[in-house]
Amino acid sequence: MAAITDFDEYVAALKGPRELQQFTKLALSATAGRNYSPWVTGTLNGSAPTTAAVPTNTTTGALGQENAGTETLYMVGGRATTSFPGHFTLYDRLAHQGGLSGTVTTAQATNLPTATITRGSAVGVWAALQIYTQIGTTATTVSVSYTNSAGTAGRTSPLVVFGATGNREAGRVILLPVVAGDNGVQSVESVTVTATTGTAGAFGVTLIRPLLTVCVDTLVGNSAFDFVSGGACGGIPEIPDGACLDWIYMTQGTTAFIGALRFMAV
Amino acid sequence: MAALTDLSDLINRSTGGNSGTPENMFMFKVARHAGAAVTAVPIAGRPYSLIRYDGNPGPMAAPTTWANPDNTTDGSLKQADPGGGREKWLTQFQATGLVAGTLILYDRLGHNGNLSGTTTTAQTFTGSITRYTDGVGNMAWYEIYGNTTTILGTTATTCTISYTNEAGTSSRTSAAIPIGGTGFREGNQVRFFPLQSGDKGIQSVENCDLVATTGTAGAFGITIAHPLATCVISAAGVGGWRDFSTGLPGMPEIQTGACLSLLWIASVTTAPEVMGSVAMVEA
Repeated sequence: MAAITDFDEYVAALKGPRELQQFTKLALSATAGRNYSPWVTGTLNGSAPTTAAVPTNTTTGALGQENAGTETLYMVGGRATTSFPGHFTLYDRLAHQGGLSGTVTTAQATNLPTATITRGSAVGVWAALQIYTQIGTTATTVSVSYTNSAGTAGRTSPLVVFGATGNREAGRVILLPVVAGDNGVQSVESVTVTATTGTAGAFGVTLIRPLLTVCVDTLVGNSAFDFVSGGACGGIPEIPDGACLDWIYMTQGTTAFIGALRFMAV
Repeated sequence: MAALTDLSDLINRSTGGNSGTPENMFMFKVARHAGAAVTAVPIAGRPYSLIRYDGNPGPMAAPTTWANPDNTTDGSLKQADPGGGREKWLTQFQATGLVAGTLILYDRLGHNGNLSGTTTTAQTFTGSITRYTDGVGNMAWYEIYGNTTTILGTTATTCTISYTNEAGTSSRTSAAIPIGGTGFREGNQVRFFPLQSGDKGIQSVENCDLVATTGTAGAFGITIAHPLATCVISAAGVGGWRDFSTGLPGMPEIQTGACLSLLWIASVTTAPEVMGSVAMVEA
């Protein structure tokens, strides 16, 4: 891991980044204060996964930044425009799978376990359910059987709400808590929906490593952000080679998200 | 105390230079207790503890006898200790959530549980601390544990604590504050103890004394904490952020072993769900 030497080097990278990565995510229907992913939405969108896989920066739908090779890659700043103010978390999509149903009430192991993560340790990794096709209107709960970051299998996540308005729409990301003592997820082995939501839909498990957050507080404005003058938080995180970069939105409503990220390598 | 020299030094250390050992920790909390919906909602303007909320990292178990939690305690962020004689500094703190409110990041210095809402004599314990031992700026509150089964009674009364202040003077008595009754009996509710006139901190707490019974024993405890930073979420889905390199109060130190935890000051009476992060660097 190589470090940025000083402020001058940082500012130089903002002015003349090694890579300027544009992104355009079309309007994603969202309920205020809930998490959503544009993985399958908009220009250069990805597709709902089926079998367990490790997506990378070359997977369609990923932001597609270049690898740093022998150098170290950082995202140093950028700009964004949204339809609503919101909170946008850039994450590395470590593993994903799909093909799960909102009506099956036995443990679903189709396309599971999740693929072995290849970028970093499992400490700090979140498991989430990602809805690709809308599930039913009946509110129920869901849990997963997972292996924690220490390698202990057979852990059962506490139940969270699944189905019904705000927890059923395509794009919705439902974060899965871990049990006391755990602080990361290595893999997910099965998913159990407590009762049917009424519609099968389609959803899957995604393993997430949050990297940084961009806070856009202007409505349909052009919000610039970096780690020195503000708007971006998360330290100045390293972007590992192969990182499959996508966003988690938490906004005030249905929103598009358009902008650009500036990367530097040292 | 070590210092970050300047902005260049901060950038360098934040990317791993000069043994900066940057640590960026994300967390989320959902309105569930051990998989069950949280039954006690916060009250607007009142503090509310998130340490037993489900999330990632996972929740804390209710304490029993007095203990000094640290960065290995469940429910806390579990950051690494600084190495090589360095100190750790909080550089950023950001969050968003399902509803508006304010997050307080604090170091949980000491706590207990199993205090009764029906005992009307002083409930004594040795409430000492191992960080911020000078007591300056430390706060004490009562915290009600449980979700549905261990809440306190419906009869409103008041309580006080006996504590040792920042000058080492013992047997100081806090102002009496409400306990029991609606808004002061449910799980996760936290109420701060005002200090006796002239005091500005707490080194230890020796007892908690209820004036009258609340009607139900329940389970509550006393917590001593040192607040570190706040982050305002102005509306659902809007991000609040603090960059301590550009705004007051400067960079808070994260002491070795700090039990980093979250309090919620509600704007609305909806159980919060939050996600956010802290960024730290060593110098």
